[in-house]
Amino acid sequence: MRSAECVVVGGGPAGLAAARTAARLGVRVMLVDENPELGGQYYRQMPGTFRSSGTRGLSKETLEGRQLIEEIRGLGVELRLDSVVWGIFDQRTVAVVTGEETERVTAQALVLAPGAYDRPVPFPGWTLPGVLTAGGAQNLMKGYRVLPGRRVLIAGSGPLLLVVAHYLLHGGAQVVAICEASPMRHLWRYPHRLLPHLDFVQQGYRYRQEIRSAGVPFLTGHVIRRALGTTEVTGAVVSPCDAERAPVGSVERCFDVDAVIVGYGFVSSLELSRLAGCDHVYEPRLGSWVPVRTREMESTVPGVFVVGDGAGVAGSAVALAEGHAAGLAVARRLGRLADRDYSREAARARGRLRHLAGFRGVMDELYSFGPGVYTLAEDRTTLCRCEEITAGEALEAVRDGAVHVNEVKAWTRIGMGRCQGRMCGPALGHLVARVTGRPVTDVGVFTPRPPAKPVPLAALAREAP
Amino acid sequence: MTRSDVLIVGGGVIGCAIAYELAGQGMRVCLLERGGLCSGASGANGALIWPQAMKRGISLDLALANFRLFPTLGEELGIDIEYRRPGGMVAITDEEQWARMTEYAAVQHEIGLPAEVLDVAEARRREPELNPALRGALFAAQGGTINPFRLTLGYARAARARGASLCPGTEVSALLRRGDRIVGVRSAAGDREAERVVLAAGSWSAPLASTAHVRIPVVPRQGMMVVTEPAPFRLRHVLKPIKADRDPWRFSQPWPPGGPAKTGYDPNLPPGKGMGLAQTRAGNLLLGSTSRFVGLDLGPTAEGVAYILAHGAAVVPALGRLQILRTWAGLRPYTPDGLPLIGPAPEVEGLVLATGHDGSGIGHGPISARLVTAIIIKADPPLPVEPFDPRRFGHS
Repeated sequence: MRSAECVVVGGGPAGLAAARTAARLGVRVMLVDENPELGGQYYRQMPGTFRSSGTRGLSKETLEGRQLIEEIRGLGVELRLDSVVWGIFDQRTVAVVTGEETERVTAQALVLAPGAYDRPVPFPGWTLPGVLTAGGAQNLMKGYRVLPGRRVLIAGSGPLLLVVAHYLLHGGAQVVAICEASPMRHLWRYPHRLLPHLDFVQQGYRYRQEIRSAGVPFLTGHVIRRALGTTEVTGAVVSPCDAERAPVGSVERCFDVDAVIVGYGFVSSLELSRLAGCDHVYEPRLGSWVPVRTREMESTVPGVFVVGDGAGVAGSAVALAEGHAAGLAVARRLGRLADRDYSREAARARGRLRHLAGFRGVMDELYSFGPGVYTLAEDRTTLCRCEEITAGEALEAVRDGAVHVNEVKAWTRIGMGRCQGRMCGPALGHLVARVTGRPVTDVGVFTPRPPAKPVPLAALAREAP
Repeated sequence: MTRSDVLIVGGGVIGCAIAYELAGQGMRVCLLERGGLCSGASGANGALIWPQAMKRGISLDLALANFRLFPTLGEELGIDIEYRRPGGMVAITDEEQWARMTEYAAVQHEIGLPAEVLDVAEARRREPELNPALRGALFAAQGGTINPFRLTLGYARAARARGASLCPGTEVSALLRRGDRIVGVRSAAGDREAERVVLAAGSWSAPLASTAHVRIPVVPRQGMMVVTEPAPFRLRHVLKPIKADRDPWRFSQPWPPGGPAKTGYDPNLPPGKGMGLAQTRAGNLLLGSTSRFVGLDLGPTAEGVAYILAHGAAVVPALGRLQILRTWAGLRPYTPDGLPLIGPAPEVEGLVLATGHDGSGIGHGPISARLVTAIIIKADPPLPVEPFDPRRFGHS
């Protein structure tokens, strides 16, 4: 057991920004990340075994990330890589496992920046080889320079779909169609709100132009119905959807494919904020629970801050700004920043966040989450991938009287597998809510317990003194 | 709203089994549970069914009643409760334990619960994953496992099929008392009255009883559990890592908790007695447990988990290669003499207690339900009920 001034969990944009700001102000920071390299998803660096001459071929994000990472190293931040925070005890004591060694660190300030993950949306055929998530496809292409397929259908909602298409085309693949669930109507309402964010808008426009020139059909108000194939995906069926993003009508289009990329947004990783005892609230527009925070990024647990996509998905620019804001609050908490200086810097940080919120607001409206995506699963569709349990079995549990997701779990074993409900939790909650006619906030969530992720037994059997 | 004949407070295995048995006698039954069904100790245990007794008496009778009920219970409820009785092994680590277990095995034979002491070679022949460094093992034929969720929810479903009304998500905040009679409950769904209230709320029974000025000696005894990923090997038995205590079968703790300790015994550190290792049908290993009095705290601790794992790995070294998926804690409703409270509550009419089963709720749930039903309908009980009478502790 040791103590630390500030522990930051997560080495993506938010965690890096928090560590940098705090360290610059003299705080001794420990930064923990489960990967061998810093960067998280957005600033994912290429594996160490890859070589590139100069910076040619490296994306803008990779280079930005590299700079930030180098600065962190230069500031003497203590790095614990390949390390998983598996538990949080007594508010701010984190249990960290590296290999087969575990250690407990009590922090005066704890910053959680765990990020988000692709929203798992079950639909017929979603477990076929060749069906990937948008985040997964991005990792494959940006991080490992591997194409997921040569004839690819993209389905989902959000600006990331265009980015994925860009990388596919750049890599020489054919994009047979992009199915955007949002009707993308009322764009005319937004120009005045988008004016201050011309850089983002221009970027989006460039991507749209690119797919138009490549002749890629961009179907708005469409969702994926089915992935076809026996041993691997060979076809994809899409159909129009309504405002809730539920499929309507009987008109379907079928495409020949060898890969399907599905991206219905992201959900925040809440294991750590729940283990820390933070209060959470459900955000209908995001379709996700998020931790309750003050404008200083502090959760309902004193000294525990949550920043970045792990506190509500809002993208990398917001993550950087929130990380910075938390870094300031941490420095003040530890007496490294006088109140007056803090007020000035924090006000600046809040201004930046307000500015970004304008754009985020438009994105969240345009690509609003629709619970209809959770009607795509049929009875035979796998809902819990770890335990291979179908949506139909979950429905049977509800018919047998289950009203809470924990009851469905007890009946069916849904959520008892390796992922402990990360993949099936969101879908199960919406399924139980829909079938019992109650709001999703009433059906409960799986009770969070350590470890936050599977950890080696050998590590936990031996506690470091 | 129709008035019920019986209101049951608590939707764990005890409450659901009672609902099933009473509904089977034609009574109008309503069960109220504040969370989800099976969300208390019934859903937090190690899935072990290993009835034990030191000598002739009520504990032995309970154990034998168990044997008779479980093999056909699943069929009766129309659900596979995954009851398996492969036998259990207690790990013997040194000569002193070997001598003790040899004595113990002889006594067990006398009372009809066969047990054998095996040297390590024979023990490993029967259970290859056992640590070769052990002295041996005590084999006991009555060790087994069950799926406690399917048992509890199976009872619930069968109770509903018999017309019982089971209402999860409905918290009972108080028992309603009129003079010296318990007439019903106050709940999230309003006040409900009934001829009889059955209190089967486990570790929450005492606070509820106190709302009607009834004091019952039930205290939560916390136990932590660990579950691993599915193992690449299959254990053939349920296992008990031995504890370095004088009496490995029945722990003895001071009453009341916080009262004067028995010599050499600290009730809170190290996390205490009663260990088990069982494997689910899917292959996960369930390890536990510890023993502490910490009120209604459901949080596992790193020390408790380390303690459990160290003991487990000492018996099955292959555990060291597995990953842990989850840890949790359950609250066993503990009583001063280790026997449950089944029968009329002290000093009031209209309240039947069915609580205080400590770590044997799953094992003694079915027989408890039949005892409660016999008491309520005034029929002959399958076992004498006097040892469980809640009034045995005298004053309230």
